[in-house]
Amino acid sequence: MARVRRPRYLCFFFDDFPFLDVGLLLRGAVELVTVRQVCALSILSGETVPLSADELELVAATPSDDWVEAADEATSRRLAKKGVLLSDESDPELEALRTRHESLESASWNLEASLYYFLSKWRGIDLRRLARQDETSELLPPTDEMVQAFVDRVGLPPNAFHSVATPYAVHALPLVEREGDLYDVLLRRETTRSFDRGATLTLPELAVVLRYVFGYHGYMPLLGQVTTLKRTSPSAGGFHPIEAYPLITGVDELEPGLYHYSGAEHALELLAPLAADEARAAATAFVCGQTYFGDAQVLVVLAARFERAFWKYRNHRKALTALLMDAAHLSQTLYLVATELGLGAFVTAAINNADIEEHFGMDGYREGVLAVCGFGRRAAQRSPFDPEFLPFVPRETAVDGVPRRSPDA
Amino acid sequence: MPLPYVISANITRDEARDLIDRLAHDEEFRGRFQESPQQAQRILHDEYKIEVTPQSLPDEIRLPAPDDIDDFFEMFEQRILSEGASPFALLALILAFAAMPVMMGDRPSRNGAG
Repeated sequence: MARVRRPRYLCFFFDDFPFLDVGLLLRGAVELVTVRQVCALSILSGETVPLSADELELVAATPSDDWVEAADEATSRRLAKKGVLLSDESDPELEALRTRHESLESASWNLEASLYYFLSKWRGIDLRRLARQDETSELLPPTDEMVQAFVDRVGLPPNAFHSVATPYAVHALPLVEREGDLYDVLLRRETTRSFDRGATLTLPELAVVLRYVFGYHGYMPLLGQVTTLKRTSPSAGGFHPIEAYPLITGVDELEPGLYHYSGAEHALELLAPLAADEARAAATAFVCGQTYFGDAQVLVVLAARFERAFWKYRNHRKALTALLMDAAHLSQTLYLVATELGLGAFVTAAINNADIEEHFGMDGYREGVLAVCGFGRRAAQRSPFDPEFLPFVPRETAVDGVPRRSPDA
Repeated sequence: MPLPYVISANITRDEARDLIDRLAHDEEFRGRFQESPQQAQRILHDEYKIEVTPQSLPDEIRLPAPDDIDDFFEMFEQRILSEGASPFALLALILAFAAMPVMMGDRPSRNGAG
């Protein structure tokens, strides 16, 4: 007889939603009823599983710390297939779910963090398909009518500028103007959505970005055993668990393909060579059909080594936040370095994490994808997705929503 | 006086949305559904885990007009999936906040941790 246990990576919620009265529906009438449904959220399968009262009771009665004989074998097996129970049966599907559970436990994944991270992963998303556009063409921007319809439906957003309601005092600050390379780069920094598809980057340009964004510039051995590292961006605990996996589509002297950047050796490790068109297609697929990003000569997949981060922050609720911050710091540094080189840059979280992990052979638990950034040669023509920002000077520019206070207030 | 039927549903809102959508917009599905009470019962059970006892079935299945169900579908979309799956809303957000297009009502990867 199969034995089962309840996974630790499982949550429950109550969902109420309107539905059709099925009895009346079959008799030709539309009548609203409210469904009150108990659901399980399986982090192992990514599925929302509706549970009947009997099923909920069965799951609740199954221990999470011991294997027990399944009380109701058919129901237990069905729930195990959906990741609501674990089963010791030698079925490949059930074995895979068991392995996922073991990996989550062994990597010290926190329950709440794993719920968010694994259930927000995407696979096979293409924005062009969702927008009912041609999936082989450029992603098209929405029309003004679409934007207006959206605003009509949801209303205007909260003000762009925020101020507290009743401050004790407001001290106007001097409008300082700094000059120099750093400030110049900071002000020129922007997201680029128009890359020159026919151009290539030079190997030194690639090397500069990798060296100054993802390279290591110092290390510190703690107790002679634990090595922390220094990059040009901060990292929680100095652990730097974010790895850079470039997808190269257009760099002189390098074949297109999937690479890993070895910070220890300042070298690129080729994981999979790709034909030029394959590399371009993979780039666009990685970023969910955002063709304007897929045109960049280099995409850099930011992958977290969860095991390294969670070695210190074990089962910690804040650990995932720290990882996301690490990735965000690196992307901003990439923007700055690319800008200094005269290149365009981008970062996006709208990515097909699960597909990318498969391409790079990551297991998703010990190492998984957080974001994709990229850089490349700008196109002469700006993309219709590129916003045209107007200059803004505090206390001078008249924009709706800016608090107008006297400097002496 | 309540109608003498016994129905139990064990269904997620995504599944509910899918059923309403098909009843409103899928002619082939509506046709199959209305073939016979047994066929309707089978579809509800096999595809949506909605149990309808034989005693609860009418002699003949007569679905409401597609427009009537569509009205309900629109309401359902507004109330339940107001964060929902409109690609137009998605594109508006791409334009407005292009660095992070928001997929409305996004679905997780089907294999979760995998």
